[in-house]
Amino acid sequence: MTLIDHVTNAGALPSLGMTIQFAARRQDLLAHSIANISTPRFQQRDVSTAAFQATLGEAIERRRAATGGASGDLRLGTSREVGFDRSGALRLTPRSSGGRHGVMAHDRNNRDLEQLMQDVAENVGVFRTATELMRSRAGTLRAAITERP
Amino acid sequence: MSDPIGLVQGGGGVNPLSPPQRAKGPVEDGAFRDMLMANINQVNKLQEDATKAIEDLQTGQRDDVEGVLLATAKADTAFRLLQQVRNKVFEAYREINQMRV
Amino acid sequence: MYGALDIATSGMIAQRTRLDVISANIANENTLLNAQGEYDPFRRRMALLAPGNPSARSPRGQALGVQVKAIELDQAPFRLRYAPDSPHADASGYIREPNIDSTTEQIDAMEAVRAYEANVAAAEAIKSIASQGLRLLA
Repeated sequence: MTLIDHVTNAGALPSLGMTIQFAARRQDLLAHSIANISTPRFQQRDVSTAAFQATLGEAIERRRAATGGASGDLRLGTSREVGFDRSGALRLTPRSSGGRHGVMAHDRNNRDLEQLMQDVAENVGVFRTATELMRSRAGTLRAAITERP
Repeated sequence: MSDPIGLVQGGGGVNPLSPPQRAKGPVEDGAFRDMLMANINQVNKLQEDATKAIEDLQTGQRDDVEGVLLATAKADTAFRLLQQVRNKVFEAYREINQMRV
Repeated sequence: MYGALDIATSGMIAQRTRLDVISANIANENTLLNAQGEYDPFRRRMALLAPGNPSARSPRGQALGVQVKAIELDQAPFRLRYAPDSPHADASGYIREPNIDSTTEQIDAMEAVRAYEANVAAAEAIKSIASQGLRLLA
């Protein structure tokens, strides 16, 4: 690993990057479900955040075992819902049900608007927390590099 | 650190023919280095704790954002303090180097 | 970069189209004559929604969102009212009136407004994420 690698994948930066990408892609899915709130026969689909957290946790453990956790690339294992495209960007395939209560409306749409709104609020919260943490860690790194606190 | 150069106690002035005596005070040789290393190790540990806290937050093993923010802030403050200490030590070293004896 | 906003916008456009259709139905609840003045009772219009957004910029974006596939005429039978003195009465003395029930239309309108607001909330969340992401560089 080069010197640059040690800086760009230092500490918690790779895992934060994964979380940020996951939250951004999940926002698309939630917006799609909200856009189709009146579409007959539409079934809400979501990705499981618990499954993503488990996959991320395993990748972090592997990285810790390999390099002690202070640096090193993070490689997510294969999973049903989380994948990567050719340019390395995260791609989500929703396979979980979005509508929670199993109630179907008369137009065969299993809409659950309140759950969607809560999911949107949570997702934005996750994105903001991860971005702020990344900003803070990157700031510390920059301070170390430029020698100015 | 009371009188490292012997200015206060005198000792009959400095003899230019004999090498200067090293003051045997409470400051032992290398004590400063040990103190610095201890602080560096602690800063390192705080950084590792912060990294682990952030990762645990993301994997769902902890759910207290405030705790993670505190750990991160602690690690940052400790690092910047160490950085300033290093800067001051460097400055002092450079000053001493440039002193004409 | 702008793909996510397309999704919420398509939802807003679809709900507003629905609202336009509902407004037209309410306005024409009693319309018996067509534009040429002939006896042709107004038929209820329905907006048909379907997932997907053909006006999205990327093929991936075109699979997400919602569109108004068509605006169809409701084939439910007209309401019959007994009025033998009317010039439009048929052989048994009934005139046919538009198959529109204003109560149903108003409830549909409320639902369309609620769905529109939900899409606005989604758009705000997306904008907040985008501007928050930019702060990574600052």
